[in-house]
Amino acid sequence: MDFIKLVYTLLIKVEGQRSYRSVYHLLKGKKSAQTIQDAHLFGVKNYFAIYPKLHIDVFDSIIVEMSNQGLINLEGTNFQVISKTSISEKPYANLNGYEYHTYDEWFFSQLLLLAQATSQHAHQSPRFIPIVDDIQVQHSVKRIWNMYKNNEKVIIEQLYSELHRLFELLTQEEANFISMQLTGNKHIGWSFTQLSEYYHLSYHDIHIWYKQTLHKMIHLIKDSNQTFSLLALLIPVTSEFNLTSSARKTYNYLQKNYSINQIMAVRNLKISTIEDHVVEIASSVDDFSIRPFVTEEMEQDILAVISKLNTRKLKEIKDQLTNNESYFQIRLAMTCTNSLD
Amino acid sequence: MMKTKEELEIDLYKYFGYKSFREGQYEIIQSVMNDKHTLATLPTGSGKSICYQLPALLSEGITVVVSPLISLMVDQVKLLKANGLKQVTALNSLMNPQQKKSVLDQLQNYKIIYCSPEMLQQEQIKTKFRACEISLLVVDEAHCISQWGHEFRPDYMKITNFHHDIGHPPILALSATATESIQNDIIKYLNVDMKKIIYPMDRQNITYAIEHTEDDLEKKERLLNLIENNEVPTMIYFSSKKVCEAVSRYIGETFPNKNVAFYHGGMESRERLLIQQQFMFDQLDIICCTSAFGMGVDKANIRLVIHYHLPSTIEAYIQESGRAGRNGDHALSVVLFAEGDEALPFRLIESELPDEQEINKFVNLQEELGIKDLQSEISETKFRFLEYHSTLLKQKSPISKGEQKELIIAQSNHRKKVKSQNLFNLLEWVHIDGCKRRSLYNGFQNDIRPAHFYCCDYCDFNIHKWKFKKPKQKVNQSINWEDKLKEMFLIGEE
Repeated sequence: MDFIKLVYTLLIKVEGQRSYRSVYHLLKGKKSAQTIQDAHLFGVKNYFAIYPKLHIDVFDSIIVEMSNQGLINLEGTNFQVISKTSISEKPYANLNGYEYHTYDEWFFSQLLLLAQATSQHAHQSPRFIPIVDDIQVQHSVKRIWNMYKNNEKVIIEQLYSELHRLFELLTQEEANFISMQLTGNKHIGWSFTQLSEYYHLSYHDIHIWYKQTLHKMIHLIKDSNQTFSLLALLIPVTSEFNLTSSARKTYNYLQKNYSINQIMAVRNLKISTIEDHVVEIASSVDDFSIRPFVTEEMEQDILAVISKLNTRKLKEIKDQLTNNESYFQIRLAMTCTNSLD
Repeated sequence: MMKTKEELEIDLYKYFGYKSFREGQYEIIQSVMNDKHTLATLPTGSGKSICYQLPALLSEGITVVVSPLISLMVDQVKLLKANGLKQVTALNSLMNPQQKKSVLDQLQNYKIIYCSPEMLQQEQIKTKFRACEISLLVVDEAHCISQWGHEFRPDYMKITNFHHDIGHPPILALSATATESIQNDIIKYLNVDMKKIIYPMDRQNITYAIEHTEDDLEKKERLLNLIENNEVPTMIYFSSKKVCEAVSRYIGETFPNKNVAFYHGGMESRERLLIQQQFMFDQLDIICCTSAFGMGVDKANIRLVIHYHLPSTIEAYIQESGRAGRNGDHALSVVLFAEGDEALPFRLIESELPDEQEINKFVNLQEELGIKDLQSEISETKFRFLEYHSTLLKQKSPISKGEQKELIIAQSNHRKKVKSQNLFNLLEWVHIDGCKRRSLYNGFQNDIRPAHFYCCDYCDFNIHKWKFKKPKQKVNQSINWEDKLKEMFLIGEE
C-alpha cells in the first residue's frame, strides 16, 4: 500500500520504452488506444484506472521526489531506473483495475448508502441525509431496498451476516479499515484524510490500500455469487466489454462485416481513429481475430523482429521490417504478444 | 378558508417536527397564505425557509423558489427529503439534459421547485411553467436584485418578466441582510406592491469580540488560547484553503484530544460530505472551513465562530457569525485581526471582476468561436458578468465595439467600487472604538435590542477571562469491525 513503491514498480516495467507520463495515464485510466494497449503490453493491466482522480501535478512531484532520492534519473520525460532492487508485486496482487474500474466506485458508493439506510432502519430512525450524493446511486439503492419492502428485518440481518462473512475473508486490518469508512446511525464514517492521520500513511497510500481491498471484496463477492446474494446486487452485470464507448460502436460495425473505410464513412471519423479502435478491440476482446488486417506471415515477421530487438518501440520495429508493414499492423501484431506474457 | 395559528402549528409539527413558530414565521406565513405580495426580513438562522415551505405544502399549486446558489438549493432539497418530503427538486445548470427533461416532464407533480435565476430565462422552462398552476413565487436572498447589495445578480432583475409570464402569483421576497435602500430596490425591480414585514436582524444571544494581533504568530497563539478555554462546537473561517488546512493540522497536533477537521471546496465530494455530517453529529469539535462550508447547514449547537480571516463584507460576516447559537444558547463570535489582513479580500474583489484586458478580449471575440476558450480561461462569475452586460447593451440601440468596451469597463469599475466600499465598512467596524453590536447592525436597523447575555468586548465582555466549559460526551467509534457491524445493525443486543 505504498504508493511511491507502486509507481516505482510500474516505472521499472516501462523503462526505456515509454515516458514516465505513461505510468500516470495508466493509473488515471486514460481511454486512449495507446494506454489501453500499453496496459496489456507491459503486463500492468491490473493497475489500469486505479487512481482516476490523481492530479498530474501530484504525480509529477512524486517523480521529482523519486529523482531527488536517487531512485531514478530524469531526462526530460524519459527516465532510467538507477537501482533495480527487485520489488515484489505481491502487495498489489488483489488489484484488478482493468476488469473492475468501470464499476468499483459505483459498487462502494452503493455499499456505503445501503449500509447507512439499513443501519438507520435497524435503529428505527428512517429519516437521514444520504451519505452519497449521486442521484443514480440513490435510485439504485432504493430499488434494492424496495425488493425487501415490508421485510426490513430480513435485509438488516442479511446485510449484517453477509458483511460479517465478507469481512472474515479479509485480514483483520483490512476489515477494520473498510468498516471504519461505513456510516451508520449517528456514526459518520471516516474520511481518507482522517484515516491517513490515524494510520500514519499518506493520502495516496490510503487510496491504494482502499482500492486493493475494494477489488478484493468485489472478487470475493463475484467468486461466490451464491453466498453473497445481497451484496452481489451491488455489482452490475456487465456483458459489455471494457471498451471505450466509441470503440464499442466501431466493434458493432466490424461485427456486421463493415470495412474500415465503410466505418470511416458512416461514423464520419478519421482513419487513425478507427485504427485506434481496432487496436483497442484486439487488446480487449479475447476472440477477436486480427486476420482481416494482418496476414499470418506478416504477424510472424513482426513478432520475430520484436523478440530479436527486445523492444516495444514502433519506429525501431518498423525500420527492421522489409515488407513495408504499417504501424497499424505492427500494433495489431503486438496485441498478440500479450497472451504470451 | 384561512387556517388558525393552532391549526398551522399542527401542520408545522407534522412536516417539520417543530411544536411552535419562531419569531416572525407566523406573520409571514399568514401574509403569504392571504395571497399578499410580501417582503420579509428575518435574521440569519431563524428559519426563513419554513416561511415558504409550509405554505407550499399546504397549497394546491407549485411553489417556485429562485435561489442564487446551486449549493444552497441542493442542500435545501436534501434537508426536505431527509424530512420525508419527496416532492421537491432543484432545476440548475449542473443537471444533464435527461435529468432536466425528466423534471420538466412531470413538473406538476412537485410542490417545491428551486430554480436558478438564469434558468427562468429559458423559453423551454417558461413554457413548461406557464402550463402549471403556480401558487407562490419565492425570491430567496432577494438583496441580490440590488446593485448596492453585496451579492448583486443581474438576472434577478428579470424575475419580474417571469412573474408576468406565469400569471402574477403572489411573491414572497426574503432576505436576512437588506438595508432600507435595498428593500426599496427589491420592491422597485419586482414591480409589485408589497407588504413589508421587517424584523430586526440583530442576534441577541451572540456576543461579539475582535482581537487585534501584531502578526500571524500572535494570531495563532490567540487561536489556541480560545480553543483551549472553550470546549464547545466551534467553527473557524478562513479565506485561504492552504491556511485552512495548515491551521487545522496545527490545532490537531496541539490538542490531540480534540477532533478537528478541515473543509473547503477543493476536496472530493465524498470527503466533504463525510466531514460535514461528522460535524452535524458532534463527532467533530472544531471545523476549519472556507465560505464553501454548508450554506444549508443548520447545526443548532455551534457556540463559537472564529474568523481567522476577514470575509469581504459586513453581510457575509453577519451571515457566517450567525451560524452560532441557533438554538438560542449564549454564543460567541470572535474576529482575529492582524494589520495587513485587508490585503487578501481586496485581492479577491479584483479577481472576481473582469479587468480591462479581459473585457477587450470578450468584446472582440464575442461573435466568434474563440469565446469558448475565453470562458475556460476566466472564472464563472467574471464570464457571467461579461455576458450579462454585453447582452444588455445589445438590446439597446446598436453601438460600436469601442463604446461597448467603455460601458462594460465602467460597469466593472462600479461593482469594484461598491465592493471595496463594503469592505471599507467592514474594516471600519473592525477598528471601531465603540459598541461592536450597535455599529455592526447600524446600516440595517435604527436601534438594537439588548443582548441576552453579553453584548461585546467594548461594553461588558472580556474575552481573555471567558471560558465556555461544557462536559462533553465523547462518541467513541469502534475501530474493530465486528463491534462496528454490531452497533450499526443492532445485532446481539437482545
